[in-house]
Amino acid sequence: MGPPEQLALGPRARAAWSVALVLIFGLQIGLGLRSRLHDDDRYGFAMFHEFTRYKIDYQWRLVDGSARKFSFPVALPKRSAAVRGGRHQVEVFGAGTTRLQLRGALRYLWAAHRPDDAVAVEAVYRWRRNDHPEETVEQLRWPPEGGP
Amino acid sequence: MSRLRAAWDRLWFAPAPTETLGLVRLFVGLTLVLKFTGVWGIYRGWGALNLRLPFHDGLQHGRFRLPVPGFDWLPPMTAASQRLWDGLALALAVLLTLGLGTRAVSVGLALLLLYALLESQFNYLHHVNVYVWVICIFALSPMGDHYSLDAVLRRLWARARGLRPVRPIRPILYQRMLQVFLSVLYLTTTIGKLTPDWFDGSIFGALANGGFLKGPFKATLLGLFPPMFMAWWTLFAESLLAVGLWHPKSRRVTAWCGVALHLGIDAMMNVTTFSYLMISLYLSFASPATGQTSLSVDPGQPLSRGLGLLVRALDWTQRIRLVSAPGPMRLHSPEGEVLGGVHALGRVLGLLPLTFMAGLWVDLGLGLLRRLRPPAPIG
Repeated sequence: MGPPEQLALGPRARAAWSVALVLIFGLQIGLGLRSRLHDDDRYGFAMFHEFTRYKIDYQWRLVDGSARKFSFPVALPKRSAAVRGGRHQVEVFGAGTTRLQLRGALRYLWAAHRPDDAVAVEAVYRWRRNDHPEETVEQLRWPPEGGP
Repeated sequence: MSRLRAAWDRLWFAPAPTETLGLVRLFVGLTLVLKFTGVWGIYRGWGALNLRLPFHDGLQHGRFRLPVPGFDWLPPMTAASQRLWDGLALALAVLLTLGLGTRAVSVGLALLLLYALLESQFNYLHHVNVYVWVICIFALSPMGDHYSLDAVLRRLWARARGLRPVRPIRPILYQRMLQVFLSVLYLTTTIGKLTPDWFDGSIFGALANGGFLKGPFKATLLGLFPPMFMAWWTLFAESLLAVGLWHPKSRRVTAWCGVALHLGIDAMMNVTTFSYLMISLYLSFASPATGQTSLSVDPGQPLSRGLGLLVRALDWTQRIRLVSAPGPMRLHSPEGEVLGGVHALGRVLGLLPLTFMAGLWVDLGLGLLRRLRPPAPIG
């Protein structure tokens, strides 16, 4: 290789890069904080900090106040099977990951598969951390009480 | 304020050669080629070598699609478009490794990976996320200055016009981005693991019960190392990797801990090429200048000549400049040390990519020996 050639950045390029660097690493740290806040390791970098064992049961809330259980009405291949429900499953990214995916699933079910007599779609989400026996039960619903 | 600004400029914009960037690109590119051909995983034993061209993982979603919020506008992946994605990703990974059209290839690969990550939340995997960040940094950086076909073509082009090829000196910014990214990653993952289940080691029992630990080495490794040891070793190594790579004195030991940690993960978990990617990223802390260590070898002495041949064959990163001189073998380090005999051998092994681990053991052993019985001064 020949003699060195200096390819320095001018003051404006340095200023622009400085702003870009703050944004880039601000985003990296921000995504890390988001994953802590939502208990959802995805897009952050807290890898394998815990996993959850969970079970989801879906039900339609009907006009008369009763509930009708149902299975996820379409095939869910590969990792999308995480929201299939009706059986015990394992999630490696945290309890919040399933919660957020369930919200998306409920919106889809409401938009694409709502029966005429339903006022909402609900998911009963039971989960526990690692091998701990304590179970947490959450009821998620779409649309929420009082409308979306 | 002006001192702060000067420190900021020194951190990000100090001039530096770009050999390190080429080295990181070469090895990260290689890990991508392994990923897209399905060649990974010590835990799979010999099965890890089963080549699939290109590796096809199948669709992650059917009629129910869940894009990352804000990215609903991305076209959904179909079986046909996923096959196209797989082939294109492999082709770009090969080009990235070879360093042909490096900048355009990095941009293309970054867009492909970003699309996969954002098109469906079910496509998320930690290692894909890390690849997205790294390849996006590549897309912003001159990764093809060295160890690339781009560099060869540039040299040929310059010579054809009677010009002398130049060695670019650029702001250290691009190398720093990789370094800071790596440190923030390890810092974040360590903070995430500061939980009671990691402190008492029960996480490893839970991971084993949950089916996350697998392969023929699982039983041996779990038998050799109690869960508490594994948990604290992980916490120690990851926190060390967040800071230890920055200081030249702790760099090699830290890199060794990182290599051991990731090989251990790869021996028991399906993380595809994540371990190889992380190990490759440690190269971003390698000194950017090549040939700063010189080794004088005597062609008349079999041992000395053999070491010279070894260096010629395995010094892919061109760390060592060979000098032919009669007399005992001598190694001159960039720090001004003059080493001979087994001390020189240990240092040479530590500088070659293939023998890096063995070299560190020899270097550590000899370092301890030196403390007990300092060698006679040389030169």
